Amino acid sequence: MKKTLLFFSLLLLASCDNDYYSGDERIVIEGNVVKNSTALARANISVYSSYTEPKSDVISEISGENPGDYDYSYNQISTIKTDADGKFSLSVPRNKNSHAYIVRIEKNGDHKVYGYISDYNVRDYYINMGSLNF
Amino acid sequence: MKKLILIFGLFFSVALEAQESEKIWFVKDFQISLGFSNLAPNKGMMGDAHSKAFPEVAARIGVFHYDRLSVGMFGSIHNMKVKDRQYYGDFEKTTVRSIGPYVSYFQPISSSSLLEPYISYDYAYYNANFDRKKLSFESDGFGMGLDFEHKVSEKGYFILGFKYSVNKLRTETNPSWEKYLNNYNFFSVKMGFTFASNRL
Repeated sequence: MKKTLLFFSLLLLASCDNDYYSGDERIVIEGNVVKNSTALARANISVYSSYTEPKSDVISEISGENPGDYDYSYNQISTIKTDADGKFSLSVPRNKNSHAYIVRIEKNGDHKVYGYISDYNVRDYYINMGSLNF
Repeated sequence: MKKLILIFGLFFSVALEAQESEKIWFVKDFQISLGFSNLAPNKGMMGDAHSKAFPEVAARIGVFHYDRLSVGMFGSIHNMKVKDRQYYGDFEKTTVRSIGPYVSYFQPISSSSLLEPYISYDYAYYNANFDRKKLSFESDGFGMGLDFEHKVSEKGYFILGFKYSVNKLRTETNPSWEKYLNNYNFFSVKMGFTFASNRL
């Protein structure tokens, strides 16, 4: 009995690490990255599913200082680089277990995280995050 | 309902007449093939995201035959490497499984060769895995193909064929992006063998 419980516990833990996505819905995410009011080209943009429940439609920088600030999956669902104008455009399928996404911007070892993309601010499967300061 | 009964009545009377004249058979052909898929895709997410696929393994079985007409089922499977992740997502490869009914008609062009055009409904199930991520989705499609078949034994035919598939992903998305994200059309080519009775 103990072995069975242990097996199912391990199975549950293993399944928690996986992110399950369905292509029945796709959100298009666009925006641009600026640094000192100048377009930031070739910055890495990564989108992660977030398990934090957002409370508003506001997109802002997430400091990560508060517990649960970004309880996110460590498996990025999408990653691209900004173009010469600092713009990015991508799409993500629906995560079966969460309803929010965060965007991580990285360049030269520095990074910033913005969120949350959720039902509050996605209209018709589309969101333009506007200018994100790096 | 009356129309349905009429159609079935017509079908069975034709079948009965055909059977009497030895023009109707059941489960008389089987085809197995290897080929390339995702060739010359349209401008869309699926085509942009994936490389050409090889091998595509396919099989089909003719269930009902009337004279030169066949109705049957086909199935196929292939993997495609993800080459562009921008709109598709961070995945390494996609596995595609297709199944559906088809209708074909063969036309002899010589004493040992024939052409067999066909149309099919293509249901496809896709899944992609990478780094503990799993993605699944579906599409509906319409296929148009043509097989060239050359007789190599009493019931065996070597085949070369191609097919064009017009597919639409079952994905809800922004209307402005719908065409790019959902439409997926491509060619596939194949070679293999058909085993069939009552042809040449």
